[in-house]
Amino acid sequence: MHLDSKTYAALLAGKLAPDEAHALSAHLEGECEQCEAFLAAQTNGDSLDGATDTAIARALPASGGEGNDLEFARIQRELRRPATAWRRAFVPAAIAASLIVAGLAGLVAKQLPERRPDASALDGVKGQAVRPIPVRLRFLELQPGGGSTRGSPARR
Amino acid sequence: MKDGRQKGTPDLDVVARAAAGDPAAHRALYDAHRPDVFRLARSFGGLGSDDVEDVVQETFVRAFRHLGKLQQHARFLPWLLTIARNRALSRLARRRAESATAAEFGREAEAHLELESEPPDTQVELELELVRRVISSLPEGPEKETVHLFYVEGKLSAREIAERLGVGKSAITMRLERFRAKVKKRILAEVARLRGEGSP
Repeated sequence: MHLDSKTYAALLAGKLAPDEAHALSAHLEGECEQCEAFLAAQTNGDSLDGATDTAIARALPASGGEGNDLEFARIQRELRRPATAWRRAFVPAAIAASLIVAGLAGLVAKQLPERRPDASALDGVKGQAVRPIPVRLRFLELQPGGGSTRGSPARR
Repeated sequence: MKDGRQKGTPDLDVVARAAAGDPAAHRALYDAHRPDVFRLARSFGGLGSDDVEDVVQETFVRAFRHLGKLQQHARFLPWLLTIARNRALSRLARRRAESATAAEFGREAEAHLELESEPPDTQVELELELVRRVISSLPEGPEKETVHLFYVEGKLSAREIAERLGVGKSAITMRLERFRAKVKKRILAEVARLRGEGSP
């Protein structure tokens, strides 16, 4: 019997029937390129990967690649910072919050009584009497998980 | 032997102190296992030296941050190396996704992240001789030469070996993966043997 995804998962989960496990053990003790190819293609970082890397590390201790103070200090500094997921969520949330505040400011401004300039204060040198300029406010809300939502335009 | 490691088995007290956030224990584990993490990251020919350094740093940050989730402290090293492998795979997937070749790899990498909180559960007493037997059984040829250069001499990265032997980086990564697959097969045979105990 050759390894396949179902058998492999069942064996690692301890759910393979004893007689099948026995037969599989006998098979894997011998040479089998098909099963080796199957295992080489399993790159899920599962429990067998951890066990394999540990076996290699114990049998053939790594030389070189020793640690250093600078890198350790960076690790400690990183540990003091909030987790990446929080940082990822914080930036879009901050942008969305600022845009919402800006949108609200526009709406509040719309509710305020319109102030017309005092015509007597205008001497005509710098232009004519000011008229309201139509302004359309647009904003884009960025979602933490990707994607975006367009905000409703406010117009005054 | 340094604090935090005895023949690849961490001092359980050091792991417990590290889980509680003790920086001295963090340092002991970092010093003891950094070479293993570094070598694992260097086995991926697709990663440059900067990537390797990043993988090492990310691995320890992630491990120390989530060490409280590791229930069996004796499993620290397999757990740490699983994190390192997943960090390396994730970085490779990002590289591939950046070159727009495979969005599939990106999804795969995300799946890898989910596995990191799961401590390895293989119930096997690993024999040190197992790996040596696999090496000695390799036929003379490029695979054995690659394994010897990478694991036994241990001075060159997968990339450097590729340059020395005049082959592609992916060829070296594949040779090392084939060697790992042979070790995996032996370990899995042992797992299956233990599961099958009692059957006729």
